[in-house]
Amino acid sequence: MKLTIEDLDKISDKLKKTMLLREGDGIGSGIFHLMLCAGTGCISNKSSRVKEALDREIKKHGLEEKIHVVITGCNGFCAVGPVMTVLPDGIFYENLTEADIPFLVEEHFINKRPVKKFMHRQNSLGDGIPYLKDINFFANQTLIVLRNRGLIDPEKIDEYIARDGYKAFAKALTKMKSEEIINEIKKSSLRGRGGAGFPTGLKWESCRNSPGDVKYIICNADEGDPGAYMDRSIIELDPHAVLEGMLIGAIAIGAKEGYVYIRTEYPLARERLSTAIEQAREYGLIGENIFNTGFSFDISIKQGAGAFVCGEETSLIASIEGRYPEPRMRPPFPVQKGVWGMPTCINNVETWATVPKIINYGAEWFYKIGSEKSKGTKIFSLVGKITNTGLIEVPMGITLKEIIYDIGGGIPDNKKFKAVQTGGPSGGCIPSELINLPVDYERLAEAGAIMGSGGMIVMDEDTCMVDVAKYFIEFTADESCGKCTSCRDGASALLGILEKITRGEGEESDLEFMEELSHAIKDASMCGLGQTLPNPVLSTLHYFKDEYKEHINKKCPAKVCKALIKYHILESKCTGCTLCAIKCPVKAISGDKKQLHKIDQNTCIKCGMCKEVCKFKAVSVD
Amino acid sequence: MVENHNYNPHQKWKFRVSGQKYNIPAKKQAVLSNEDTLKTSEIINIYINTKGALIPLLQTTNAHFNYLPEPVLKNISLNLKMPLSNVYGVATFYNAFSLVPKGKYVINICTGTACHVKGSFNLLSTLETTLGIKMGETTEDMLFTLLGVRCLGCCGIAPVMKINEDIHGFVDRKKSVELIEKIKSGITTSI
Repeated sequence: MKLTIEDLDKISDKLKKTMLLREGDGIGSGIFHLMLCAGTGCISNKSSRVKEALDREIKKHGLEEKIHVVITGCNGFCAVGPVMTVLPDGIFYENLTEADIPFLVEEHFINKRPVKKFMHRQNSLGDGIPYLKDINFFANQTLIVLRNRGLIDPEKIDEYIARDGYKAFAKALTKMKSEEIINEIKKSSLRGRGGAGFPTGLKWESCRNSPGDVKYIICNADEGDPGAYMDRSIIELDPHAVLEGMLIGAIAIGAKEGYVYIRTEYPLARERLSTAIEQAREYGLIGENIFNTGFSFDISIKQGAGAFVCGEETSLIASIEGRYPEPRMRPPFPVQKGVWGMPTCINNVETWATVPKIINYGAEWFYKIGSEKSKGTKIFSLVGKITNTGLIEVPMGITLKEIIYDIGGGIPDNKKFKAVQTGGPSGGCIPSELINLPVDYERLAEAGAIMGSGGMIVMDEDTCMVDVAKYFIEFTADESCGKCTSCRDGASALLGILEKITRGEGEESDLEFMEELSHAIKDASMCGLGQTLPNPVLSTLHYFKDEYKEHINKKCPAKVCKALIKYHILESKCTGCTLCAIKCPVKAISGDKKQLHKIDQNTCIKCGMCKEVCKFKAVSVD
Repeated sequence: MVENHNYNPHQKWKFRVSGQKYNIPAKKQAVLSNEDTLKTSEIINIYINTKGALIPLLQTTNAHFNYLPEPVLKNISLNLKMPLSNVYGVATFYNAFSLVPKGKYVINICTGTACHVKGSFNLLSTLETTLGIKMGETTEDMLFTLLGVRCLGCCGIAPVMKINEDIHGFVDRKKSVELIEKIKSGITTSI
């Protein structure tokens, strides 16, 4: 059924009551919507079984008319999944299991007593917090791109339409000229969310001005940065927002065809996106002669095949064309000569998903959010050694401290905060001294890191910075496409030195050489991967030189590098329980029952199993 | 040094290494059954007329056979009128393709940054010991293949491991070994 613009309003009107209820209107009406998270994280924690149990219990109590279970996209609070919000009240339940559901349904909906046991605790002594809005993790976020988070079913286009969906597209198509759209985006100062932060409006304009009748737009969903999953989440929770952004871009640029290049590692996101495309096509929002205006645009999905370098624009294009994904020299830029030699505009998922909001609410509104040169909000994946791991959306310019302590809840187990890594393999490590650093494109670059796509990996005192640098270089050495010698051989040379240092065979002169080599790699490599790959080394060398020096003196302060540590059993604490000897995978521990055990250093592989299993803390590392 | 200079596709190449005649060791050739050959042409026919067909074609083939057998690659090269070296280059560049058969259960240990700082390297070495294979290898009974993956995007529940399509979060060494034992005893792939 092809829709007209009036039909969009009809659909919104039909669902208005539902949406108002979900926004908190109608408390006490006796109608509940249980918004159960079905992002990849919660699904792996068996949220589908929770759904089955909920359906079963609701049926058992005959509450089908009053309680509706709604599957939503990623809620963001992955650390405590599966999570569920009871709307309209906004009561948040976490860590649910199939077995908990009968009790929960009976208590909450029959006895009208929300269950404290499944509520979130901010610290171990604190009481359960009933409302989602009171939980620090959620309270300190600003949702713009993720405004539909936890409120709609991503597989239902009607619910997206009811939340102002496709209105921006209708407005752009019928009321705005393409120059006006581009000007609006330029005025908003929106910058590319994929990492480099290039002004989106400028990119659109140069693509529009490139000669040629056939133009393409691409959504880059090849989220290769390890430790980042914003794009996956956006697609899983609000796929239509991405499509709408692309449609608006297509009007502005004059494109007839678009591709979404999505990683092979994200099956659920791909599935949701193709459902969304089908639904939009059925409603006539994608295809020929949309809304009878003569405007046509089609979107298809291109699946990646697992190569980090495909995040680079020119190699992404090569990959879409079915070639070996080597980047090429620029100019000509993709906006001049992209897919099949035609002008192509590539933007990241988050950028596309931001566009409809700017068109809907105006550039001025967007411009007011954020810091001086970086406008709007940014989604980060806050992960690593932090209490509240998950996905957050915050205004640009927020300080690291607010992110890590107010939203993230600090470092678990009373450990000390050491550094935060942003920007993936192209980024750097920001030390604890810079905790008051405002997070935007400029400040992060000044600190030697980059914004990147938004991965934020928190590290505590148990993380070895040399090991982290080695980890990233290992990654880039493996993922380098091999075209430029500086990147291909430079990365393996860097890796060789880092391995030498972590083995305890490093020399003082290695540090100097690494720095020199890093600059050479930056200068001589062609694409972004090579130009930024030494960043983890340079930033750790800058902020954590002492740690490198300690490694040269054959000590690993964080006790991670296996060649530099030794496991011992403390005589004062060992009770001779034999547990470590049983669990040791290489049988390096000897000792009779109730006698002091001993580790044979020659056989020990330093896996740390003994330390993990010992109940008396009798195993020490030095 | 290559001896015969005139290229003739039917002639065998003769090599000399350090002055000595060198015979390329014979490889075990995968032979396709009739059914598989039919399936291959079926897959090729779906994509043959689309632009940029190679990667989707390899993806579908890889999904069907669980790897890319050499005869199939040759078939693809002939049908797409593309040099075999090109097909081979693409097939070996991307991590999603494999030129050797994989086990029934493919175990992917996430080695993304979040998983790394939470100790996924320990997980990997534990499974290497448990299964008696190194990363990238397959057990002799073709039951398990152990792989490292670059990031599954489940960083909120790190460390993560994936067995076929099932993702398991917050995995420690004990849980990973338990999972393997469960599969071995034929109970289930998920907990």
